[in-house]
Amino acid sequence: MNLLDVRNLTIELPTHDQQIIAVDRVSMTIREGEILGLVGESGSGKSLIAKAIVGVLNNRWKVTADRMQWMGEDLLRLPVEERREIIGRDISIIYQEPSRCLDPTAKVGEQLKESIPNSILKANFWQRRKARQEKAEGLLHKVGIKNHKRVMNAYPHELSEGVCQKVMIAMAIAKCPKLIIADEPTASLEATTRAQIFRVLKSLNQLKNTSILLITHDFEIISHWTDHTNVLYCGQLVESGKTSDIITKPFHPYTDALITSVPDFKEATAHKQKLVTLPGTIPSLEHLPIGCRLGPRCPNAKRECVIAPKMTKRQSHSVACHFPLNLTKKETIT
Amino acid sequence: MSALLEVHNLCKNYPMPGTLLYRQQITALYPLTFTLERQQSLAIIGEAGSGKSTLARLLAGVEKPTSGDIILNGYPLTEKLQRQRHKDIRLIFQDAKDSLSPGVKIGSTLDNALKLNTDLAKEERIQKIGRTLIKVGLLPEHAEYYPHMLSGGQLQRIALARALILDPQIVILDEALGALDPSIRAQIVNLLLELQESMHLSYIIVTHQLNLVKHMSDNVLVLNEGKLVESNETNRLFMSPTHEYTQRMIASRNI
Ligand SMILES: Nc1ncnc2c1ncn2[C@@H]1O[C@H](COP(=O)(O)OP(=O)(O)OP(=O)(O)O)[C@@H](O)[C@H]1O
Ligand SMILES: Nc1ncnc2c1ncn2[C@@H]1O[C@H](COP(=O)(O)OP(=O)(O)O)[C@@H](O)[C@H]1O
Ligand code: SF4
Ligand SMILES: [Mg+2]
Ligand SMILES: [Mg+2]
Repeated sequence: MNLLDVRNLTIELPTHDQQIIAVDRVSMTIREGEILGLVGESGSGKSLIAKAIVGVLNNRWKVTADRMQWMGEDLLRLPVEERREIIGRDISIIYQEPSRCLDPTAKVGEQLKESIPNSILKANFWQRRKARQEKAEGLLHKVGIKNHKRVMNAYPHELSEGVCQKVMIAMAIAKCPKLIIADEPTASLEATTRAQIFRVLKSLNQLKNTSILLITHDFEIISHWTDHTNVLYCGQLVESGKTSDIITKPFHPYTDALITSVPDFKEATAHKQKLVTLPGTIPSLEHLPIGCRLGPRCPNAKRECVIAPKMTKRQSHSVACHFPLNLTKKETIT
Repeated sequence: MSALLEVHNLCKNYPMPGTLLYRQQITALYPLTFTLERQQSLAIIGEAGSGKSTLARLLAGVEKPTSGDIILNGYPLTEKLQRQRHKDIRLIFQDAKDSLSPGVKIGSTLDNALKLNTDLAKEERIQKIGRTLIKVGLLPEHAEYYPHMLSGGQLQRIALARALILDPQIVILDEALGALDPSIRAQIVNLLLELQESMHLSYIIVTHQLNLVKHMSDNVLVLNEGKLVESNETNRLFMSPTHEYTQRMIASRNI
């Protein structure tokens, strides 16, 4: 069943002289129990999409979509209160910047305990205090914090960024949500802890059937942990499909570049050797190229590329490119 | 000849949170000794909270060590040499957003670094800002932007620009590559490698990305709970890690 079904999500920032379109007609579905990857260049709009789904973008942004259905109900057409209630109950988001999302004036332990809803404490109200404390300690252990006493008594600025991130993750899983949106959840964590965090997320996924939208720009993470992947460039989806298909034969030149630029990922790289990469930079939203947005950086660009390519589907693997890579003969004809 | 950077028994304590009365201390970094040669890269790896950023801040002079010495080009760094140190050792923070003032244009931030640390004239500074922005893969126009108008990765490139603009000898990258997406990260890695050759730069790279450690660094320090548990040449460390903690980390590399 589709948990979340987003059609043509557009996120705009009206300014006095120009309408900036930061996310342009992005569609995606998240099925129950699925781990979906969202990968893309920084500034491509990944965090905006995450924030738009949970409705935390401020009023300066204009969010529109043909639909944004959560288990059959269109979130964008629900009264604000109802929407907030559904999201508060069912969706957790782990933000990219942990230190900005924790309250600097409250002890970490208090904040964590606050995020545990009464409904999941199997205790009478006079036992709740203790149950809550135990639950909080358990959550910290789960995300790999051994010294729970010190962490619970600390203010966020006294902890390192990585520990703050673990606390954020503990808070996100406290309510056993149906969907966890994880925006670069492990960027500040080292390999062992990163693996540990993904194991926690994966076990929630397997035991509780929790869906996960995993936002990252790390293709190694994508390849290990996700079932399906969406690739975003400059606010538009350029490729989507099964993760294994995308890694083994990417259709889009951008995806291909992302994969080959990681040292030692698909092929061995010599020490200090120059890495393969696309030239140029991401255009700013005010100066987007005409036609295909990768055009000026794309090694395969041809005259046709001044017309924006549409998403086309080959089996379950879609791409927006006039000259997809790695096509088999049969796929070229269709 | 002495090494570019020598660090002797560097150590840092912080007051323990929640114990104002007893003034208990926690040791973020136990006495640590190492050297860094010119044009070499040293990677520092370790769990969250293991003291990596503390070490980075001490080296850059943002914080004072509890004890120990830092010797650059044979001279101990004292407070008198603060200005020189700010030029020679540049730190790029883990969180670019926090290190840029929100109400200040990117161009002014870069200009301030130049004004404080060099005697360049206005026109030269503008030129230099433009060139540096291009170096890190941005456009000269970005000088007119405010930090909130840029994404996380773009901000990280601004931070790199701010470090490189003073032609330093040592650049400390505290998780500064982590926020970059691969196509730009690969460009920046290439750029860092290029600059290392042309400007004989040394790097201290704090990162959780072991593939970058393996690719870029010559030597590695492994910190665990504030203690140095292992240090070795990069390829030896990856081939035969001796400490149990390092072994676990390298084993989980591909997960
Ligand atoms: N408050 C803002 N004002 C103007 N532009 C903004 C604002 N916030 C974001 N943007 C722009 O919107 C675009 C998308 O930003 P977003 O934060 O979603 O990127 P992202 O894909 O999450 O990047 P990263 O990987 O760096 O986190 C970027 O081009 C950014 O510059
Ligand atoms: N200003 C501070 N006050 C108290 N403790 C601190 C402070 N800064 C860092 N620490 C503590 O020092 C230890 C090392 O932190 P840090 O160097 O940030 O770790 P890393 O960068 O390796 O994740 C952590 O236990 C952290 O909580
Ligand atoms: S449409 Fe053209 S420019 Fe765009 S990615 Fe495909 S080949 Fe490159
Ligand atoms: Mg983001
Ligand atoms: Mg740190």
